[in-house]
Amino acid sequence: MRKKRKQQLNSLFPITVEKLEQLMNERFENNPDLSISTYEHQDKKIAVFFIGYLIQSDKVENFLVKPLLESKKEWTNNLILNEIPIGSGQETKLLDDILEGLIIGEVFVYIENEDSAINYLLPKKEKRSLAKAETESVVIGPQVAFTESMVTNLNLIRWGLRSTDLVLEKIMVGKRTPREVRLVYLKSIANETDINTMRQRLQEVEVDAVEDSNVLMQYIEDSSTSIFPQFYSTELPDRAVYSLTNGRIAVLVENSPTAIIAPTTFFNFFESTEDLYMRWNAGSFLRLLRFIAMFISVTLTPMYVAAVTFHYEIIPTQLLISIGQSRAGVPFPPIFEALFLELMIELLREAGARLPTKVGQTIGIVGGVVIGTAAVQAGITSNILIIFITISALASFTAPSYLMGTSIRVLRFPMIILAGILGIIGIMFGICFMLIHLLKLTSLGRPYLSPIYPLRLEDFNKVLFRLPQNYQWKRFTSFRPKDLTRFSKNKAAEKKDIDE
Amino acid sequence: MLNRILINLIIISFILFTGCVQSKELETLGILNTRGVDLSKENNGQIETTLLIYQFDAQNKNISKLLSGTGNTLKDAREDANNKTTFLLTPGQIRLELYGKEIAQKGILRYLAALARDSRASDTMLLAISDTTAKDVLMKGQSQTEINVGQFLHGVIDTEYNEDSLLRIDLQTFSHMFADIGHDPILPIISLENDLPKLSAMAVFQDDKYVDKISLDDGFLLNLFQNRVSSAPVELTIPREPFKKYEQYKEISKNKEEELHIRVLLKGKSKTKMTNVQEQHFKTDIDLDIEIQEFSQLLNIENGHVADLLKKEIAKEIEQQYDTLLNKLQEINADPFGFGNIYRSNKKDGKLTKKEWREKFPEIKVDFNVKVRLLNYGTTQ
Repeated sequence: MRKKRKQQLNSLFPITVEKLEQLMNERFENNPDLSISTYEHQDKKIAVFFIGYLIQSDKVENFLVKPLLESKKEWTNNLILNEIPIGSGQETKLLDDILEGLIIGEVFVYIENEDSAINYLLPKKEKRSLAKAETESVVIGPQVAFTESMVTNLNLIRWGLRSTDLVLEKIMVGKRTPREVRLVYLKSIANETDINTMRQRLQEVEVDAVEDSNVLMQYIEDSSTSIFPQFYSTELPDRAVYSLTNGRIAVLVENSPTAIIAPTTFFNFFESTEDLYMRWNAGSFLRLLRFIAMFISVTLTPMYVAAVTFHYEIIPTQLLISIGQSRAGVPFPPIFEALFLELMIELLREAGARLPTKVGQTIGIVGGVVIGTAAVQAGITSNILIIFITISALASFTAPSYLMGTSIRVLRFPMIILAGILGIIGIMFGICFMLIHLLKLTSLGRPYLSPIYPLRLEDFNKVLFRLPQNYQWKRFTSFRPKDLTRFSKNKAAEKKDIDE
Repeated sequence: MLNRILINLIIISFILFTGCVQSKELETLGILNTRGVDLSKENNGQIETTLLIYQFDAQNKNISKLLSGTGNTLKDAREDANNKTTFLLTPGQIRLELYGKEIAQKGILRYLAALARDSRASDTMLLAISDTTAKDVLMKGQSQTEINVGQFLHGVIDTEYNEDSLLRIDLQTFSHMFADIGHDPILPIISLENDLPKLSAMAVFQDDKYVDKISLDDGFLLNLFQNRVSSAPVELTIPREPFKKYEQYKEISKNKEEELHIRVLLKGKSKTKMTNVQEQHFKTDIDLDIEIQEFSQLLNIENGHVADLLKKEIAKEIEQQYDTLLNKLQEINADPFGFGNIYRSNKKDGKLTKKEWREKFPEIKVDFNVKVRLLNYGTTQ
């Protein structure tokens, strides 16, 4: 864009300082923040102009203005570029370039009658310091999370992966307010096709503005209408680094505290980096637990509704008695009872998420206990159902990815309605429908349900459970990384104790 | 466009489907738990059912209720009973079906067939025969026991089955045994003792007709014959005479009984072969592992002779029990052992009719051969 204009327009300079000041003020009509200071030095007028809050004013003061005024030299552009101890000095000739530069935090120095202005990039960015991960909090292992600052995030990834292989391609996305996006991958491992696909998708995004990485994700996903997220959005640098070393691609977006990881399978959403840090058997157990939890979360309440509405035969006699007794006074059919309670749990969750932490906890406890007990006492719901609803709500929160957890919670509602209308047949309809959809989904062109479909048995030990690290000498082959092995197979079999 | 049509079709089909399934909300149902079936006394040819149901009513704490109804068929009788309650009676949770003695003697096949064909009725429901009428057992039992008598009876029978003391027979196995040629079913008998229902004997069937009863111990022998028994508690009685000289604390013992009672935990399996197909000679090998729990007279069991003697006597006793049982069953002419089945599979053409086996069964000869191993006789588990 800049180059084109250069050819069309003529240089602004030379110009008098007064004229320049007038011109700038005209173009910056509604901007009271532009500060232009004019100095006289050795009979030459020098103008320094910038937007105050975008630059590091102490640097401008100490390294630019002070040397300029205190020196006895007769300043010229060349002299300034050579003598002033700030590295990023460049010459600018066009008014539009100056205006664009001002917005991104450049400081301009113009000496009257020179044929170009000199600009220094001295941006000041407000950012918060590093903090613990909130949505993907872990018990053991690195706790630090990405922040909104791209520089910080790149720093975190670089320190995690000190390899010359690491590529951080820069792509600008967005028409009106372009935003910096980084395509990060390891050149020697990541699949070439995946990189190209991702790069092409990022380049082809045509939007006004990208608000966040989660928004960008929705623009570049394979199926934007699906309920399931197809890329993992993580706030953990160690998770991003782990994914990169497995040949996957990360996308960082400026001003966004989450990185997009692609390609991703359905099962990735139930993996936590913690599984790796734990002993292999505990890690496997936790991972299996999450899968079971997902299944429970989707089917438990619908099963209750189906059994109580249509199939009382399948309930064991003892359970039937307690369910029957608790259902006895309830005036609604089971489907409405279940929907009502599910809605209530969602209300509590949403209110808890919106309110400040301290208030949110109180509301959660008060709401949960008081409403739960009162609802049973008042005979609006059965207490057995409250247990089921709570279990399935808890189960849905075990998914390490908040996006996936939310999808699962939303999925429950159509399932309950199906169960209430058609019974277990309805639940089966729902599950089949979901399964067909999952089978059709892709993530960056790679099948969403791999390694189950297409079946790749060698990948099972990384998905459904986890083998000891020594036995995982292969990378996840379903993503077709360039380099398939992490270390040689013989190394794994080697005995560690040589002497003895 | 095509998508929209598809979506509409799905929505419409869902709405139409709702007509297919009839919803049965739990709290509107009277759920049959136990059903007693008798011949009606007033109307000849009709049956009288006694229904024990669960009903969930907010105003009534007592969830068990006893109803009765008469009709020509089971469903007819159920509808008759339904006129006496606001709940819709459904058979999906029947756990025990109890038949009166009279109706069992006339044959219960038609009722079982109705149950087997009802997809809502459980195939694993237990069946039992009442010593008097089913109504009697259920009515009196309900007033005597604190809990739901159906559940109580189911528990009583189920415990015995789980202990391997009796041959487990549910609706499915009964139908299977009936359909097998040369295999007659048996069922437990519930009788009343001081108005309290009790498992008292086993009923032997000729096809679907109750003919005679055998003791519960005989019921165990039948179980051992057909299944692998893992740990059944059994009491055995053997003559005391051979053990006299090995008895401990003889001086202080005042026991004058001529018999020795041993309580054992029994583990075993059996295998039956035909030795002579033409003359229907069978040979049954029974391997038993026995863990001794209790004696009526203390024995010096560390002595190797005693152990050998015990093995011999126990084997003899069990063989004798089998012989007696077989003789009795041959008199009744019912074959719950299933020898007919073995005969048919060994026969060259593999064909046998029920009638043919009824003629042959009283003539068969079986050689029961029991092998006993004594396991630990120290600490009991």
